[in-house]
Amino acid sequence: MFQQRGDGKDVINMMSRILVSVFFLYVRKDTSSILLVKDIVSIPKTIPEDMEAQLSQKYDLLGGATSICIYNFEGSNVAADVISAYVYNYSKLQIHTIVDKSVPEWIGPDVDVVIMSYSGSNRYVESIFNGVKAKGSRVHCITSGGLLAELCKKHGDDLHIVPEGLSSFEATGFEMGALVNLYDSLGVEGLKDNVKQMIPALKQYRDEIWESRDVWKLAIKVNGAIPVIYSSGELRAVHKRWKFLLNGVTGKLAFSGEIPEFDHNEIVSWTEDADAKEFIILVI
Amino acid sequence: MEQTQARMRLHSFIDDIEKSIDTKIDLKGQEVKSIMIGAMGGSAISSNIVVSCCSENTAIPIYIIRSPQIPSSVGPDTLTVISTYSGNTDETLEMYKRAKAAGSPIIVITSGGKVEGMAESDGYTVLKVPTGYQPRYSSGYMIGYLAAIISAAGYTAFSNNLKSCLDSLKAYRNYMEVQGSLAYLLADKYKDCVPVICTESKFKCIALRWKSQFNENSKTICFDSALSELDSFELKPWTNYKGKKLRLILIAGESDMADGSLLKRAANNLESIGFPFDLIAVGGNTREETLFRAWILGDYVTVYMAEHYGIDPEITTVISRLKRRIRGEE
Repeated sequence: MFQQRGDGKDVINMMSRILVSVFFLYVRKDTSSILLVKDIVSIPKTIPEDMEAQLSQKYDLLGGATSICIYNFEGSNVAADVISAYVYNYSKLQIHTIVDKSVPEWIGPDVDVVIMSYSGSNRYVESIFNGVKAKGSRVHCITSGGLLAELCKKHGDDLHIVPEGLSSFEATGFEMGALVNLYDSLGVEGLKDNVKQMIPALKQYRDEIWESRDVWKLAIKVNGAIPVIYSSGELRAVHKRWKFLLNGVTGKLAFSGEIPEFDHNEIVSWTEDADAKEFIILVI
Repeated sequence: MEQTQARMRLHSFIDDIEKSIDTKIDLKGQEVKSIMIGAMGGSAISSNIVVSCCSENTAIPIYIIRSPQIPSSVGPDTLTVISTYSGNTDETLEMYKRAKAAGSPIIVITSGGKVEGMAESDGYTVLKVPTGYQPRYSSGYMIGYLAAIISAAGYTAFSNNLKSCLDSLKAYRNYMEVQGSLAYLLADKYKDCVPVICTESKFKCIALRWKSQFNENSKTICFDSALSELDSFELKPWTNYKGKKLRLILIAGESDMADGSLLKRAANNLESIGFPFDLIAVGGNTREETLFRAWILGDYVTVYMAEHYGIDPEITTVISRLKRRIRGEE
């Protein structure tokens, strides 16, 4: 079911870029405060360690999945998109992502439904949970607690807890680890081992970029304009992560999109609109 | 404003749907367990509105791929639809080859190009879109054909719902063409600004259409954003934004305005920080009617803006040059 290709470099590629996003936490209107900010950002720096911690947990082998539908919200988008993109390319399992409360007609007993909400209290959680239960789907929840954990316990469904008390940005590593564990237990063979193997390389990359002057320069460069981040569809999680961090942590406006649109439709406005100088384009 | 030929194209949008939606398609008894639509740019956005309308009422998943890399799960029980106006888009041709290699039955929607020859030689069905359009103005045919394909797979709700509101959509379109219509007013309001279109996920197709039409028709930078982000990450940045260029536009259905709804919360949040925004609430008796009205409105707003600037909405020299360069012709 799981086709291993190379040494998992695609995932390293994607996660490396997510780690670079940590540096945008340095962006401030007053760049002299850069050094002061550095201490505050130690937790997102630990994405590889957080994944490792979650992966060390042993999940029961559930198997038998043929199709997975994953519901995820806000900050959890990033973890869901990274891991789903990987599975999507290498596994025969169908993976569908939903970011609202709709319960499509095709969801039924043969679809495994994953509901991932860090707080567990997203306003849609209850209606989704009840909706998919009514369809007879096997339900798996990833959360730090809240209503989602309560519902899951009450109905005896498959519950995976990540540490509580974090911001949604800080939870990403734990959520990715939990999702890898879950997909592996659902039958995406080799996924967990492959991700485990790449963690040392991720740590090494993180350590190299942590003091990299080039990344510092990039952080300062985006300070004077509104960043617009583009990536390919496969790296969707990365442009979202960069945008979320710029928005949520630095309080800076940022926009993001995908290269297919950038090089098909959007290119017209970037070349012909005089307002383009107010933005800085980052292509990942 | 000087009237451009683009207006004729907009006018024929509903007529084009009408001409294509009842096309008879023979799936030759093929059992379809999912439908994958491979498309890029404007063709993908036409697919988006169809998928959005179908998302809750088909017993099989229907999804869009915008990348040459197709999912490993694609196989003989997946119906692949390749939608490309020119028939020469590199990424879409690659999707075609990979879907064929995976043993998936294929239907092609195109005006010609390489993909037409490939599909005919491989014995797949080709649904022809007339030549001579800018790709984004051929969306009526693309949508109509997709409705016909989904009906042939056994799911007729979208096609029936869309057909039942075509007369109402024609009336809405005719109103947009009247001097002083909402589209004229909005075109006047949004000139000289950078629109940021913000919607719920079920309206994402509309945000993408408005953005691409601002980009290509009006040659204006535009961004799209999710309403859920405005309710969380984005509120602080908008509070901090002191510029004048960005114009936040919330688009939703009238039925999404209830107290406690995501839209209402986001609007309340923006009001609380005193940030100016526009809320465009689109009417309609069905999801199809609401989404297609919003689509039509955006098309007219962006063409009127182009006419206001004195530029031809149809001309997209940069894209044409880029595509020639990708193909090694320049």
